[in-house]
Amino acid sequence: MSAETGLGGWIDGSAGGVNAVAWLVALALVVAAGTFFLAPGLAAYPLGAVAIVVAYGWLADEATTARTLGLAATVATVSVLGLITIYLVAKSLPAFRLMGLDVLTKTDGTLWASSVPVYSLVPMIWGTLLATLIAAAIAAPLGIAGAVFISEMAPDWARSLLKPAIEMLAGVPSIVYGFIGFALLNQFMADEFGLPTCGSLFVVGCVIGAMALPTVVSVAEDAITSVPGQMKDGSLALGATGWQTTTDITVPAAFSGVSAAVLLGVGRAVGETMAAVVILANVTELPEPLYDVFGNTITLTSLIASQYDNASGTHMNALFAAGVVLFVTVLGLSLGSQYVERRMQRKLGGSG
Amino acid sequence: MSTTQTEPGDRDDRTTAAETDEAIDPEWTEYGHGGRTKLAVENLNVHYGDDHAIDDVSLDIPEESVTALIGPSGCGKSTFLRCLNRMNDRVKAARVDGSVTLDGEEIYGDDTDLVELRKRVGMVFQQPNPFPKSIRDNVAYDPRKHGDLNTGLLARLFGRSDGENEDELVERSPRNAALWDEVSDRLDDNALGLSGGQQQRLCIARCLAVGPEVILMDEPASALDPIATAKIEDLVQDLAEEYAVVVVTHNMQQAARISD
Repeated sequence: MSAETGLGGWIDGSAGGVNAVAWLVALALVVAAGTFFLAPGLAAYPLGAVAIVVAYGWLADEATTARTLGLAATVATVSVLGLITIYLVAKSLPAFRLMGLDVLTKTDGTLWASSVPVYSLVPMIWGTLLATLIAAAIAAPLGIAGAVFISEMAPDWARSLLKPAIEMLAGVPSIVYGFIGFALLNQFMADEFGLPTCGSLFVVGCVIGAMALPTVVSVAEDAITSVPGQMKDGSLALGATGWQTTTDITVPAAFSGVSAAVLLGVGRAVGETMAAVVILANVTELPEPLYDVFGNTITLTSLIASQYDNASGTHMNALFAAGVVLFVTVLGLSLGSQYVERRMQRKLGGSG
Repeated sequence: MSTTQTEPGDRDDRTTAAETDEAIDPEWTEYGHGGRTKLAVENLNVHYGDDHAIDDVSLDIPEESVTALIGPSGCGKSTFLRCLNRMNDRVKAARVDGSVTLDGEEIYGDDTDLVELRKRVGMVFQQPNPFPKSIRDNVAYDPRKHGDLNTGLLARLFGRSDGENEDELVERSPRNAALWDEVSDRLDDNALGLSGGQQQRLCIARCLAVGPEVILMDEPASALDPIATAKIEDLVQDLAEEYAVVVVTHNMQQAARISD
């Protein structure tokens, strides 16, 4: 129990010595949590006790109680995340045991069939990659251009209209975008370009790119606007034009924020489910040829969403494996964006 | 206030008009510099909305001299300074009336080329504001933009060589800004890693690199410690050999030390 003593010591830190209130609140929380897991039906009583103890603690020593509750909230958040990760990995293990590394590398023969059973995630990973690339190719240039226009060029009245309007777009539910893609774009592509199949990664990429646009514009605009006016003045006052200042001073100075905006948009594209599942017919095959973005394949998210309700046994484990791949990819993207941001901050901060 | 104020170290604020009217000593108005007038300001008025920030100021700024503008905070010194290279154009609420001429040419004309004007009338700000780039890029940034360096694509394509060599410029400007010895061995480091005083001298070097005729300085030493301040003050006096320098300060002693 040395760890707990350590925590107690930390909680009591400023008060000095043992603080009864902190121990009381912590004890009540631990008892409630234990009861919840061991006998869920009885959890109401210790929870009531927690409420009483917290109310007492709040009156007796507000600071200590708040600190204890804050610690408890943090521990709960982190452990929920950890438990989800562990559960995800544990559930996917049978699929990995069945297929070995083939789950990530098998590219010929039957790729996905629960009757054999054989599960290869290659088509889904490839589909996700293509859709993400298309989405990024649409969202990044349009989004950055929009952000530069709103923050640097638009007159005040236009900015006060555009910014809220674009942020409102971010609130449109993804199923709406997906349905527009299905009903309008799929039809359009079929009519105008005579595609053999209804639904294609190209349409998915376009729709996800459009969905990510508001986020990219909004975050990048904030980053560009936050570049100090003095820095721009410094450039303008020596005779650089507004455009030169924007491209050479303002946007590079906001680079970390702008790249974070793009990665945020890309992260959304990787994890986007509704648009993909509605637009695609979710065929579990690799496109032929590989770069054919007008074919009808599948992404990691649409695989899970379209198959979970009739999956069981190793089929379900294989879907969990898809979840793990998705999780690791998004985690990698988020770590990558943090790395880029830190590097830029070091560079801009002058110590690099 | 309708007095024509012509002495350096003048206050350009209406609230102090009465004092300055009495205090004008004829000796002050003869700078003894014999300098030609570089910038002539006539009946300059600036309004921010309803706020009349500068009321009918007239002032001649001689070449090769230091002119100090002093006055309490918020009295319009910086506004006045920013009128001299039209940086107030960036402030949307500001309305400027009156006339400012540079070598006899009106700068508030409709056809004034702002890029050309700001090349000739450079500016150094209160807070050091180097670009988040290397020291070399900071100095060479604006000259590159103006095509004064023979490093551009056109220059390489057509073998143009009327511009100055970049390396020479990157040495000459910091040298003139008394900064060269401190940065010569780390030109490719980020400018934000310099100390505040070095950053401010880098901003001055950056300004010199453009080849201005007038240098406007808005309280260039107010964010610096005494040693860095002394260096900037010495530098300002050296610069007056070649340029018309206009310095805003709220420090009487500093004004007395540096102005002519």
